[in-house]
Amino acid sequence: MLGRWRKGECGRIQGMLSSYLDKRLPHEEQKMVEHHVMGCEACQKELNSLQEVVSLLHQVPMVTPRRSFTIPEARPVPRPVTFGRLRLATTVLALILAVLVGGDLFHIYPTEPGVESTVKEEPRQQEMLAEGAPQPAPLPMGESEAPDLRALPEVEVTAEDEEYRWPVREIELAMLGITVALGGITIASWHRKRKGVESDVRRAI
Amino acid sequence: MDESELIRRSKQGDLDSFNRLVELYQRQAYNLARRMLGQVEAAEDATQDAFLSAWKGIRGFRQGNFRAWLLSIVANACKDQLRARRRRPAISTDEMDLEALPSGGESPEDYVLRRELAAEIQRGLATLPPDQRLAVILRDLQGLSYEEIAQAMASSLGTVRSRLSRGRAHLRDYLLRRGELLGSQFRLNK
Repeated sequence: MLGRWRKGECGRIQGMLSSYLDKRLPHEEQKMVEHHVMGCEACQKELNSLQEVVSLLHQVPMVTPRRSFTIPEARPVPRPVTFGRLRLATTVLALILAVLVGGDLFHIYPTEPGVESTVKEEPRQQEMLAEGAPQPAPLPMGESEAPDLRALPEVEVTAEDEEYRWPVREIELAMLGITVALGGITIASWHRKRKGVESDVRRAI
Repeated sequence: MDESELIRRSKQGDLDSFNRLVELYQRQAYNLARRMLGQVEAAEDATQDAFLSAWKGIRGFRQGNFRAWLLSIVANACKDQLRARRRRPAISTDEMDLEALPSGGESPEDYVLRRELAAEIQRGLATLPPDQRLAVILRDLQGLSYEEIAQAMASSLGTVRSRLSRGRAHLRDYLLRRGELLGSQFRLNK
């Protein structure tokens, strides 16, 4: 029983020996270890062997590096022309795209030609009616009075009548795709340029 | 010009001032890398990487111990090298200390013994887990205080105590085994 307690106590003390050697224990613990070591042969040996290791480590000489590790002044690296052009092209495209999308948001461009042509055809039909186009016979009583539009002559839409509308959505999508692709290439080119500068510094070292 | 002035100027982008700091600490930084990695070229690479990282990150250095901050960067560079080595395990970790030339008044026998001792300790250090190795090197080879080691290892004083204690005990056991095998001057009195 006493032997087991003693063993546990020695284990605890031996865990403190390294800090004891460096005088990094609180005063009471420092005294306690000192007192224990004086009366315990095993811990005394443990302390001596640790002290020898520390003493051997202190004898290991500092080595002198073969070269200096100072950092050389980074040479100004000429900016690749392609990177500048890519960046300019991406910026211009992004601006055009922004203008297009902005205009589209405020409905500057007629983007749904189908709706507009229906609206525009109504006055044309009324005009034709006024010019004396054959009227459908009056309906007998009880039948719907709604005009039968099927009876109206077919309106021929000529090239002059059809106003050309830009496919704004398609243009926007195409430009978005090109801008994203160009942006990606520009970022990749910038990364490569940066890595190139770092490796230049390393090579200079 | 004192260290704090050199640091202040380095933060403003003055490379000459930073290189003065490099000259002040490069021997210590290289020795840490050398003992951590055991190879000359790997140690040179780690030291250079560390100084480049320190130059890039000098603005992030707040008031505190510059040496400990710098050595923490070196320690991280060494850990990167060790990780890379684990991926390419063909590299040898055992090199003699050819740089440790005889000092003035040292007999050839003493020089040989000292070299053997350094090589044996290097091999012993290589058997320790990296954190224990770092603690032992910083304390017993480089003479840092516990507080500086805690800063360099980004850990608490308690952790430093425990790593140092276990590291020294491991190294002692290694040297005891080697002493018994060699029957040489490495035999410790246990």
